[in-house]
Amino acid sequence: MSKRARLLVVLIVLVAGGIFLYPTFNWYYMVPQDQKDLAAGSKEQIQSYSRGKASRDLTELKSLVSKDQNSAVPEKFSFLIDKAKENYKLEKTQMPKNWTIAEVLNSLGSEKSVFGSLENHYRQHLLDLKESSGKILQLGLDLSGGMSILLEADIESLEKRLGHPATPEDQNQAIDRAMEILNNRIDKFGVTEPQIRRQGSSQIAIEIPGAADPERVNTFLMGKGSLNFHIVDQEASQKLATFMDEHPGEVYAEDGSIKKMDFLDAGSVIRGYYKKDEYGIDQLQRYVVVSEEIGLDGGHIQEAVVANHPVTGKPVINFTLDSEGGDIFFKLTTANEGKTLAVLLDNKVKSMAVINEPIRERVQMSGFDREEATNLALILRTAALPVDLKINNQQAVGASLGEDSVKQGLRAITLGFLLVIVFMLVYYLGSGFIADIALMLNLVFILAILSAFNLTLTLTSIAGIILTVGMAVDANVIIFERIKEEYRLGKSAEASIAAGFKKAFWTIVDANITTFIAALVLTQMASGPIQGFANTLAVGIVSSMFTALFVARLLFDFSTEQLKAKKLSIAWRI
Amino acid sequence: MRGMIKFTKIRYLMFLISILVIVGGIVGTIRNGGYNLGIDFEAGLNQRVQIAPVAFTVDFTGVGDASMDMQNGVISVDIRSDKGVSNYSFPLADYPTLSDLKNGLIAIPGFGMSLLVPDNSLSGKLTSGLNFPLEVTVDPSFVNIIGEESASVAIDKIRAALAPLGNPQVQVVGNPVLSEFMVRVSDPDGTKKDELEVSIVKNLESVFGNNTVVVLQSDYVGPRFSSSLASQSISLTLTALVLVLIYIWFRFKLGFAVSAITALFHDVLIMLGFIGAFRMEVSTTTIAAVLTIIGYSLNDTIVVFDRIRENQVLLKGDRLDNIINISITQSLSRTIITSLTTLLAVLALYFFGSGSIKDFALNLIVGIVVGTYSSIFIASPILLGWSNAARKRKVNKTGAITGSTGLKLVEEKEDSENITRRTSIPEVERKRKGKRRNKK
Repeated sequence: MSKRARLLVVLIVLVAGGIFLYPTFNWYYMVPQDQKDLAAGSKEQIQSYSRGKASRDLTELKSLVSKDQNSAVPEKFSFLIDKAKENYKLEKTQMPKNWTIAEVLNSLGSEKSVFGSLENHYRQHLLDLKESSGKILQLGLDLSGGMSILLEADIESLEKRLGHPATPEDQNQAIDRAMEILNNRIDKFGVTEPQIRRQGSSQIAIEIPGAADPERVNTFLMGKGSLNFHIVDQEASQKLATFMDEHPGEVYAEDGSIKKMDFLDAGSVIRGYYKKDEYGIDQLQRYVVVSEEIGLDGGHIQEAVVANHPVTGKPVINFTLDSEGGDIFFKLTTANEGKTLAVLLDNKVKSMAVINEPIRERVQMSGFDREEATNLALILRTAALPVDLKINNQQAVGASLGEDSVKQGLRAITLGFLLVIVFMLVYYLGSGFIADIALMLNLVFILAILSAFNLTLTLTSIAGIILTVGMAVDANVIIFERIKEEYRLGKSAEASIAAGFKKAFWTIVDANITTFIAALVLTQMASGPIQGFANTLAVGIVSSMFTALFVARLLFDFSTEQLKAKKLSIAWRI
Repeated sequence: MRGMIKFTKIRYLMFLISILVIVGGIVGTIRNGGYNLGIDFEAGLNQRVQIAPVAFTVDFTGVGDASMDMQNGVISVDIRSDKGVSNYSFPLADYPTLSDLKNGLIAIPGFGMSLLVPDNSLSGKLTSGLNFPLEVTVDPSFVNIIGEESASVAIDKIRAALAPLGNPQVQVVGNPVLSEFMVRVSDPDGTKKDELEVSIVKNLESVFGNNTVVVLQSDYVGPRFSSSLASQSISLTLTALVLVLIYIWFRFKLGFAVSAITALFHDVLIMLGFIGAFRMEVSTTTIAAVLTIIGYSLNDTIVVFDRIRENQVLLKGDRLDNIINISITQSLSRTIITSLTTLLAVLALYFFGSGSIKDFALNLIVGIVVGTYSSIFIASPILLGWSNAARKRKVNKTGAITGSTGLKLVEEKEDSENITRRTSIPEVERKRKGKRRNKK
């Protein structure tokens, strides 16, 4: 590979590393704490915050206008100017030269649309933050705490499934199995290093690192059984709609739930049809009547993948049923050809489709947003929970390590790293400088890859990284010692470098691959500290091989070819 | 002038030392009654406590039994006597301050209350623990209130207060202003639950004052590492080792693979013995340290083996023990520099870190020293032994030295001068061969 091509590769890797590290850097160093707290809140909380903030801003803007029509737009509302510019572009009219407040508000239209622009701005900001918080290097439970959730097993649901009263042994088995499945699932949802413990006889205590966002937990607990297919009674649905229009006062019970309607058949129930709004909150569209009997249980789903609908581009879930499920579904769709089938998740109607022809195995469902579709597909792929779990209590918990010991640990780790850097510089002089650049890049790459995979950083894994860096020194040492040997034999600087790298290549590759194999096998562990450690190690090995064999070589070649260095600066005494 | 140091000469002494250290570790671990497992591996007690000053005391001198409960922002008082039960309820929203509450409570016949905090303290900040419903008797019972923001308790103080219980894990729960903490103490047999519950409270009260500790929740929790996870990690580690063995076998020879894995077991055994004999706490960090050393030691051994493999080609016809000694000598400076730099980083962790980081660093220091030692004195000599044994088998079979791998049988009788004599490597030949290889 030519030097230019190699330089290009290094630059591309560097840029990619920067892109992956940026959200993490931004989150920990740029975003103020109150914004982080807001973004960690539920979607409902974000909604009420955005609306509140927008209405306060609107009042402020109105008072500003009433004071002085021509005052400049304050800095914090500058985003409104962009919005106004967009509107002008759409209407293709001449833009004003000076953006006064009155001008901006006018161009935005009615008060309602100004409010909309404001709300949209805050909502988007927080939702973006929320999304980016899922893409960063998470700090582990030991360093920054997280959320603790206490789950209670619903023994009734277990007995229902077993068909007889649960003995303590049944209970034990069910909870052990549930813990295993949770461990698996949490891992699949990209949360690393959770702590899952059994508590008392029928409870499971989970601690996960990161923000205390209640919505995150709900997805782990979704049961396969919560997804079901029902046949829609179109006629009754129509009747219900007419009745609701005519007698709006007689629809709801005192607690806000919908009343049981007399005119409905015994075997049918009313369910809400929901769609997600801009916040991702389920909004009720209307009510439909579906048969109470489950047409097909989601437990029969064997394989589920998320794809895009070829026409609408919206996410759909393609799934395959097991053979028993296929038979049931075929019978169901044959008997109900021409009728509508509803997909219900946790008793909410998510989508409806007319059955055009009998279907046996492969089915497609729509009506989910991407996040929901991905989560659902994950749940459908993992095993079903043997017992329903209810959230008993959830709260934020602080770091399990003392602030002092975290600080001390971090200081020690930095010091250790600096010592290695200085040692290399003192022992290998100019070549040590090259090794140091390679080491620092190595550190950046490791952190970038860990952020890209949204892995969790615990104090142990930080120490592990430093150790990987320490071991990455080894690759440099092997190369340098080889170069020295060649140089002592009287070869030129260039030839010694070439021979040194060549001879060291397989040594380094063999030594690293053996460790890499071990690391790779251990990443197959169920989620936990060992897996986290193995991930870090595997990433570290790849990155240190790249920096030692590729980056350092490039730097050496640069020093001999571009800087015309005739002598090697690699030891005090050759 | 490059020479060689006869490392293999003292191999039996080194084997003996290693075996003694391993046996010593096992004996020490057994004498200590097994490993000192941390809360990651042990079942234990999870207790949520809140440090809160006493708001007031209540007593009851009337007829019957009185009890007081607080739920969902309502204080209720039940008085049971022969005449039946009388029930009083005080929604805190209607009694916003403690003086309002006092006026309400002392109106109950026989009920007494004395405030220990300012009259205008908010009743909404009252807190109740597992001791509720309170039995109110002639002796005053205590009711606590969440302290002022400025008086919130720092987690370090809790840690210090609980240190006598063997450094349990402590975490802040919820908003730090609430001074609420989760304490986790290991109790493998589950027999000391009551005792531990009491001693947590006692230790805290000795620092924060009597009756200021509210126990909000107390539960028995299982270990973080379930047995299925433990067996999974063991089987995966073994799988990893088998794969590594196959890789080395493929890239080198079976003898190299067996020697590397044996050296690995040697390192892990010594480390585990050290951890057991010195009763260091076994936590997830310990596992991380052992895994790190597995990687480190493998890396170290392979680098030496690689040199042996190379020299087998360069010094074709030389005796294997010479080749091994030359190879170790040649890679010695690399071995020492790498170990030194890594040790430098780890020593910094040990001297400037604290708690689990310090333990982690100590495990690593032992591991690095043992790993370096084993790649010089254990792995290569085992390789020598393996080759010798293989050769003897071959000799016995065919009755002749075939020399198919280019290695000569090592004679057991060696010149005694050899110990100090340094044999020089034929440099000219090396250079020539090196060039020839480069041209290829």
